[in-house]
Amino acid sequence: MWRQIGKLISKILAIILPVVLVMQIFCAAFPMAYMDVEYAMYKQQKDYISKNHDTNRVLILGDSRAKASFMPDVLGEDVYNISLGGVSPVESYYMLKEYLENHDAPEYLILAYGPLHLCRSEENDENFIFWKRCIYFHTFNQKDFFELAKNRNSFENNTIVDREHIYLEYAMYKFYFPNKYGAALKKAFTTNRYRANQEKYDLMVAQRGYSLFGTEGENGGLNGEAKKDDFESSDMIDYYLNAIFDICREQHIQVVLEQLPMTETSYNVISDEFFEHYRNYLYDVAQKNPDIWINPNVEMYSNSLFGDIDHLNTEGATMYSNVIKERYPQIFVR
Amino acid sequence: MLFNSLAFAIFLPIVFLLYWAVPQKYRWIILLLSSYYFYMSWNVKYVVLILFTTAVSYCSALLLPKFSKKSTKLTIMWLAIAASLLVLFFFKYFDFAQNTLIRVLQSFAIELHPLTLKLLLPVGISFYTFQTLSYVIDVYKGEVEPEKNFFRYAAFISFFPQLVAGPIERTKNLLPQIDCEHVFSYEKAAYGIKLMAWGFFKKLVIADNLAVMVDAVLEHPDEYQGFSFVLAILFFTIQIYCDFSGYSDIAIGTAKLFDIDLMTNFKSPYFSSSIQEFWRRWHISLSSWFRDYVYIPLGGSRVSKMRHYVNLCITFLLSGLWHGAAFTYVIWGGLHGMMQCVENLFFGKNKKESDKKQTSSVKQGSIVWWIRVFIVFCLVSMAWCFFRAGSVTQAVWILAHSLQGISHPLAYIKSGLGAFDMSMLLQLLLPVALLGCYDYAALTSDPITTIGRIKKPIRYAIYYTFVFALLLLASFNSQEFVYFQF
Repeated sequence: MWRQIGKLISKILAIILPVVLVMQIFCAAFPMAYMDVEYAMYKQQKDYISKNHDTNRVLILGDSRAKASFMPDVLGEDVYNISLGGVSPVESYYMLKEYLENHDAPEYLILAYGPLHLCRSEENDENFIFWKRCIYFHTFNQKDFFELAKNRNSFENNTIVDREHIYLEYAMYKFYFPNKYGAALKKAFTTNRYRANQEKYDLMVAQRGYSLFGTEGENGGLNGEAKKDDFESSDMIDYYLNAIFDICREQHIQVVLEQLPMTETSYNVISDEFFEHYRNYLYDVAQKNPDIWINPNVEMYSNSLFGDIDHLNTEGATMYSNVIKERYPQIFVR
Repeated sequence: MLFNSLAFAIFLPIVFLLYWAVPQKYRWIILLLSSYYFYMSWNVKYVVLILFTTAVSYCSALLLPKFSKKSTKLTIMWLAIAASLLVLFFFKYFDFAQNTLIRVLQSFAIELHPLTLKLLLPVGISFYTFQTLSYVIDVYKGEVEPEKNFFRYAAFISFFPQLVAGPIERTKNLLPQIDCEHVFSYEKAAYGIKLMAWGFFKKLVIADNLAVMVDAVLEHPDEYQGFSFVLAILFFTIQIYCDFSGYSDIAIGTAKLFDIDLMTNFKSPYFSSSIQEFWRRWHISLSSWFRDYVYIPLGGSRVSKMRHYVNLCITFLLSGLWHGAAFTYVIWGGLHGMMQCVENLFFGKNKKESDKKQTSSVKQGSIVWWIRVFIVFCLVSMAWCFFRAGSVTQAVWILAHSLQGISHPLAYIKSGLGAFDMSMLLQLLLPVALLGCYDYAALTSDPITTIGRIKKPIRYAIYYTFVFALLLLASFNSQEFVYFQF
């Protein structure tokens, strides 16, 4: 009987394993060929922070709104934007750490996140992308992941990182299991993703990390904050925001915590409580960190300056970058 | 624990190896323990309900032979049925009954405040309740002997492959298999694996991908019109079949790994040339349950024509209600009952002949047969609209608007197709065509056995291609099986 059971198991494995293996090898070897276009942004940023050794005087770090708002071409020659879509200070801390390991410390670090990426995360919160992007794209260092996974239980609000069977889940991404990458592979069959990814990558290099997200000439939609009742801070995000401040202090980097504009439609819908609690949160951060330059005021921009519900279009980004340039003459005018 | 979850992928091999590792006389204990673990993985509290239903049916079945007086036996049987149905009613139908009562009373200007119980529907309650009912009735009829060992009986009721979504097994088929001598058969286990793979293909590749498109349209019907509704209903027709028959295939295949044969639950239902034939091919374990325990006791067809139609309608209304506590399901059942009555009225004579032979009255593959298959498919699809819609009003609205704009056929089709992701549609064309071919072939033979006879190199090429397609096209979001809610 056991011989027959062995035969059955070996036959199942002989049929399934080669197929899985071929898929895994393809996924690992040719990510640009099948991953969605955001991969190009993550890869370009990863390549830049880990391999390139430029010296930048000003570094921009934040989420997708920051990536679509700060234009190094407008801000100055020695400015680089290493922001990434969906990240919170948790992921940003590790990105900055890696950047500083491979580059000279910049003089200034401009941090900018939508309030949504500074507030409490819920379970399966679509606004946070640690798993869906950082782990999925393999741009998060294994050592950093294990550190984060190990420390996650010391935080009350840890849903950004926490998962059921966290190490097994990580292993499935690590070894490109088809259940994680099948959907992207399937999509790649009908679209030429390699070309789109390569074009995006080249553009990101040329624009020093800046990227346009929404391409519309106007957008009056409601952003994520407009769908929230209130702003509630997260202990995990706070911890890593402070860790960023600490690492910058050590390297004598002046940190600026800036705000990013919102569409007038969203701005008018967001509750007063949300803004009040968000401002109070920032005042609290400012009080605890008097050396950090903090702008607590979220501004409202015309809908015509937005390419989608969250992100400024080219015109909006140019305008915002000029506003920032004027606001901080000590940084940008030399 | 879903069949399409990592937990099940770990659970099944462990149970399989343990089952064959222990001596024959203890194997049913492995099945019992693993089944309860499987069930408790949904919600530990649910176990109380299944234990209660199992205990009630077990005790009443033991009591039945002890009494010779028919009226006492009848009382015991009805008490057992009432107790099981009461649990089912409380957890599944209480809100529905209460809301219906409130609405009726409101029309008489009587206000009643609803009781909010916030009860979660226990997974598979309709399935195992019906299994216990059939056991008690069969024991009452003297068709089966009551099981003396409570735990062995509990293993029969809770057998994990079929516990949460059937097939609803009959005592005569499954109970003796729980504790009989089992010998590992390579051929049987390999067949089971292949059947499971086909079930996963139907569920993960076809049903789950179609579900995304169906949900997009039918959950927001106010945003769509015309041909998009026709396509969404058509997709749901395929989705529900692949979802449910996929589950049944996985269940039957899993059982084969333990040398246990479960009953066939689907036999190419969309190749039926009459509604009656459809019900001989769709969810066979439930339709035969209703036939044996509702329709025939009501008199079946051996009564006056009018009474026969009433019996049909009652049976199908109850079948609809079994599926869910909402009027949409009742109407879905009622529609099938009505369609059978109409069919009987117009084609009754032909049918009697064919019914005797249990075959279709027209030759399979003939033009007439294809036309009839197409008509039955359209009627069944239309009825599915009620099954899927959020409310009766919504279903009527969808059906009423599905032909909107048909006077300009090209624009009608173009706008309908525009509602869906074309690349996804194209990717699903081949799998759906494969499903059609498989089911058509299954009318006359067993495709899995047929493939098994092909020369080795070609056969293995088929297996590798199949596994590749499964892994590539599957939706791995661990979506629940639709029938879990029943």
